[in-house]
Amino acid sequence: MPITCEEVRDNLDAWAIGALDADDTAALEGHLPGCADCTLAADAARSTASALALAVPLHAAPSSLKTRVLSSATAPQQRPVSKRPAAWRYWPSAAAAVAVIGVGIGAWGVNAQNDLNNLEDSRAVALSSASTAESQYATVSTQLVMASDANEELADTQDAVTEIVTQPDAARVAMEGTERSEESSGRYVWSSAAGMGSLVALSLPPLAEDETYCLWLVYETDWVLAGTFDVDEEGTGRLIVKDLDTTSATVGALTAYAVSIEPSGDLDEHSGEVVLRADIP
Amino acid sequence: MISNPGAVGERIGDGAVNYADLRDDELMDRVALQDLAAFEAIYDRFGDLVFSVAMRVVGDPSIAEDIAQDVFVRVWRRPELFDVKRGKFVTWLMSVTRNRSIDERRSRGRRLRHESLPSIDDEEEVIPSGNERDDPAVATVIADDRAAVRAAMEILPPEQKLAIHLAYFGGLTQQEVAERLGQPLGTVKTRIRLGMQKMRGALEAREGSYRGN
Ligand SMILES: [Zn+2]
Repeated sequence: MPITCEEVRDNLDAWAIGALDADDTAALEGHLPGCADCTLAADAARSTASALALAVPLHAAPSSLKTRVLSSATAPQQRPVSKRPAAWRYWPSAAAAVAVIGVGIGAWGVNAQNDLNNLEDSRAVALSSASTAESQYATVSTQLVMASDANEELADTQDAVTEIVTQPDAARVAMEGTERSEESSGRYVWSSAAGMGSLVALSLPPLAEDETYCLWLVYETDWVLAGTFDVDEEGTGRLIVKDLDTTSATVGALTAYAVSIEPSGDLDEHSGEVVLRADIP
Repeated sequence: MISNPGAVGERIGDGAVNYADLRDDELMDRVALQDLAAFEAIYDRFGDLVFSVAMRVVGDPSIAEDIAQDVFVRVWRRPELFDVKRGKFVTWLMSVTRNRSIDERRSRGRRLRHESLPSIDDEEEVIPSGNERDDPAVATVIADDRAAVRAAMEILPPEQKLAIHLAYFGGLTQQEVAERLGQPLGTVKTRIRLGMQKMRGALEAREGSYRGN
């Protein structure tokens, strides 16, 4: 049963502080997407409500909280045990992640050259300078074997992201889910000065055992593989791209970035379903 | 090297970055790229506040710590849920924290719910304002806002403030508030509406407001 703007306005304050019952909440929230004016008023009511939280008596959070937050945020989530090769299961323990964070945060950005050296052999960095699909796949396979060094991987990934976003020429595009996966989203950021790019993809569908995600640079006449990656339980995938060699394959202008699901193995050309895409105007 | 891509897209780089100087939304841009240093800056700015809101709702430090951890992990893993077009980061963060805390309160059932319902007495300063933590992040970023909001709440009649707090921090619907206070539902609805209007007026009067974003 639709409700009027007037009824919505009468209820907005109660809604913003969570005081409406389930039916009234559903009716009000059903109205908002179709009504810009009420949505504005709702945002204002929510802002007032959040002021209530802002005014609570302040307690110092236990000092353990920050450590817990940083370690659990960055520790990759548990993977389904049966679907992966053994090495994939051994992501860093919380304790390992804490150690990495403790060392890593202070050091970021201090030694960019060292960061780059780390990236050279990083297991996180999917790809790069690979001249053939075979050697690319070999790199990926090495990642599988080396996943027990995932704590280093975490630090290297963070170094790379920091390196990219602090460059003056850093730029990004938002990637949107295709019909195949509408809820997915992603951001690709790169810096020519750093010679690196970073992809973070969210809410991607899970992969079958023999599949991998691929990031492609879509040129007018060719798709150039930028790297491959896996996703965690929540569908989050990360990829650092470095020293991509586009000279041999590139003809024409870059037209889009795309993420597709491809069979593991031969990856010299694109064949799978595209789940994320950003077209370049 | 990455070739032509540099020519397109939205520029985000601005040379050397001092995270403590960035606005909340700028930090969240970087969190969305999984920049852990930006996430740490967000934590440093809001950790105490998120913990304190959870404390206000559940009243138990170890439960509040769990809630705060969940909230921040969510910020890290699902940063796209914050939409800068819909309001300030702190508004969103407080809303996530409040809702997560209320869920916890409800899931813990009657004991927690009935022993720790907010009362007017709870509004007395646990930490006298003159002695609030001298945390630099809090002091510079949200202390002014806290002071303004607290001043705005001072002007609320106690019965309006109580009805609002029972709902917001106690997780009660206005019907449940009415039952608890032994007042007609219409009276409670009016108290909530008038109280919220008054707060909004007081906060809007103080322009400039939070510089976080
Ligand atoms: Zn409307």
